Amino acid sequence: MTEGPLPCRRRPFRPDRIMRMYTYAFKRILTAVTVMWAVASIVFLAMRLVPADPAMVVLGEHATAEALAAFREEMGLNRPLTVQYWEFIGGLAHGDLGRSLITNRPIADQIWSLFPYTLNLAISSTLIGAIIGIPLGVWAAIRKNTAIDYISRIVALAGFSFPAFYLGVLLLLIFSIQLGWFPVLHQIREGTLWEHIYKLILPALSLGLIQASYVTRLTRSSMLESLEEDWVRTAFAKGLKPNTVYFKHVLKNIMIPVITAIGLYMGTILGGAILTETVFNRPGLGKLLLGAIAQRDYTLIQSGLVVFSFIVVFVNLLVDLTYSLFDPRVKYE
Amino acid sequence: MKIKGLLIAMIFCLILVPLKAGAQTALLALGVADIGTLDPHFANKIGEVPIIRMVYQSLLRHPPGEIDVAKLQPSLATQWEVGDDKLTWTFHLRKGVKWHEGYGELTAEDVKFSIDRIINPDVGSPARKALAAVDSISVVDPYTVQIKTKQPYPVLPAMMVEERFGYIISKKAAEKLDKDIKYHPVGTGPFMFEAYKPRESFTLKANPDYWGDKPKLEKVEVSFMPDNSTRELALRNGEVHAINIPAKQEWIDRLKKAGFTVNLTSPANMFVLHFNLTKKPMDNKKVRMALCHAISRDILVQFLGKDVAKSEVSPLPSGYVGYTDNVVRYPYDVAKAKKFLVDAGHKDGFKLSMNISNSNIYLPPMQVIQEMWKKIGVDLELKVVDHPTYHKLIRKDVNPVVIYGAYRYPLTGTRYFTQFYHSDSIVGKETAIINFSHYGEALPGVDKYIDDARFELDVTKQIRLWEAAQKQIVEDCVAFPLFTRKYAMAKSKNFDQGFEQKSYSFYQVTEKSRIK
Repeated sequence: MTEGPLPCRRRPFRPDRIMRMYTYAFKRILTAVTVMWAVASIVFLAMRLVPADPAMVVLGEHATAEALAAFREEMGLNRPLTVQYWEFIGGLAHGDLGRSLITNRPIADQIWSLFPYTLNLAISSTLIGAIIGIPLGVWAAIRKNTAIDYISRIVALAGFSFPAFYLGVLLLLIFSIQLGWFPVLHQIREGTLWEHIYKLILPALSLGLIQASYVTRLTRSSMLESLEEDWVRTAFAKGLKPNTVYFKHVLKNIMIPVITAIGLYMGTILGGAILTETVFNRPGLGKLLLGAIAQRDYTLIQSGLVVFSFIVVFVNLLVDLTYSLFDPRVKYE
Repeated sequence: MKIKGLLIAMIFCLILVPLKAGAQTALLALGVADIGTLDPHFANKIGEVPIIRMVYQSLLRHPPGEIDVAKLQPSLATQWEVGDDKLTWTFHLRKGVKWHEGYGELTAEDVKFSIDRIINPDVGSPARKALAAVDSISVVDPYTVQIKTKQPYPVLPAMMVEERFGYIISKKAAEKLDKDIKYHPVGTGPFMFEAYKPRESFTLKANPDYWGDKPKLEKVEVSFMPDNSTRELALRNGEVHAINIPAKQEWIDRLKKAGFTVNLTSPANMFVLHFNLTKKPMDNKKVRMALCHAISRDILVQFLGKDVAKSEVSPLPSGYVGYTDNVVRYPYDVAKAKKFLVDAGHKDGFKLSMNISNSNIYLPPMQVIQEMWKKIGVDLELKVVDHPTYHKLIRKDVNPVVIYGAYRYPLTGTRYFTQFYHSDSIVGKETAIINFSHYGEALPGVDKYIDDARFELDVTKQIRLWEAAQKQIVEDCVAFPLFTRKYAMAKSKNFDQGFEQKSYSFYQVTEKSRIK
């Protein structure tokens, strides 16, 4: 460690550093694109390994042979696998997600119309997770081995082992059935801002509380680790107030693992969104994907999964690139 | 900012009561993710059929809420008769019936267009085979059509009902909307299209020009809710009026106790075990008899729920025309089953492996059978695959045993026997349907009874032939009927349909239905 432990000074302008950052970003994007290509290929192949016949799925068990053949012809399912593969990958490269097998509508339209709902849900549950999880984790670490610590650990463990959709059903039972504060069905009817916020609360809580338990555990353990370090002792020794040490210095230092984790949990949140949106009957990408699976809309599943993994890869890329905001010592190489 | 917004919203929602739609709107929730198509000549899924029944109509119909071929009523046709040749059927249409959305008046052209569309192989309607007896249809005048059948076909009127093979669509609308007809139905029924939100809901409004009584409901909203518990909570919270529920005893008891009306409907799918006679050791009749004697239908019915399932003994479901229970029974008797196995040379039992669907109507009963067979030393391995894969695999003739649930309109022997037991229907053949046992080839079978019955005009003689077929199939022990499983649905007491729901997989809504 060459630089001082307390990064307070403003950084001088260093062109080589910015150059390095661009190179790094370029490399990371290249990796992300490779990952995306691999995901798309695996998804494509996996969909073809399922022995069920999409034509029969769409037209029903009793469809005539002619009808099945006509459908395969129309949807291009009878062409060689390699042709289908390159068309799919080529389409993705142009941002074309193809058409739904069942409705024959452009998939991109469906995803774009539902994306804001899932984005709202993901952002608000991440926020709830951070707002509850970080202070609770810090508090538990400071008051290590006290009642507060034990309670937060038990709650975090419970949340950790709790599926989000089940928490959703419990929230519905308490707040909708017993108390009557919320509806059971979270369909958006009027489309007003209030309705959007009102119907975001329970779904966001059911995902956010689970997220909070992850964040609490992680914050607590990182915080405990940092509190052992020499520079913390130095900070206390030079007479800084405990809160200044905890919140200004220690917390800032542990933000990197916490933010990384929040980024990684994006996958978990999206996975949770599938079930949460279904339980609350809320529109969104998760419900779209689940519906596609239920209906065996192969092209929609395929493109939906690619979009999901794109979001995860993108968020992680973003997280990697924001490290320097929290810790200037991070070098992009 | 965000926190402040959330807090305000929290306070706001304390004073806000759950949103409820207007008084004369019926809210229905179905356990599906979405609809695939509302083209009435294609659709057959639980999310689609209830919507289609509100929009489209047919020449004749069953009384609302039930399927009863003996009680056909006039609908778009007011009269019908068959000529002396027994081949020419004349239907007289109701005058002044208007298509939704200004597509004009219903005429004989529309009827001809619809029937031609169903039987045209290029269109590919799955209902085509049901109208295989139809030779041609012609327009006599704007209010009269004639249908000619290839052979005398006394059940033709029963086919002109509210099913895939009977719906009448508007020629003009079909030509104008083309493929959009899948999501924008145009019919003559009491309710018409208002809005469709993919994966959310389908809304219908009352048809102001309906030819019958004025619909009492202003709107009907069908929501798609795949999650079972969400549907139940929504019903309990008064946010929907009717839902479909899993056909399980605990669901029925729980919702009845909570004060809801639960309807269990039939005719429903009859589940049958089909033994594949080309796979060893299923080719040995003694083995098949052993497997039958080892199954207790009572245990299965108890497992599925007494209100839900009913045990069946004949390869034709009880209640169908021609049904007889005067067939050989293979009563539950483990000792006898073991003896048959010894006689067949399988003293220590044997191993068997089959694919099974992960669907919750197929897998659990098969697991119960797996346990029962274990008692006689038959070690059944269940390879669980997803539902469409199961359907693909059983048609590829890979299973030694196939479990299959089916219901065939118009509740007579013809379609049931033809599809499951005629040698033309053996899986793998060009003309294959669903004869999984290779009956009629591996064993002489009952082809002649089926063929004779198909064209027999004397109902008594026809019934005799079907009875003979049932006896022979059970005697040969190629299939073991297990049970029929009803459909289950629940509604709140204030939703008055105007009739009793006895049949179909979901509540029907007609002009008589209302919210009290």
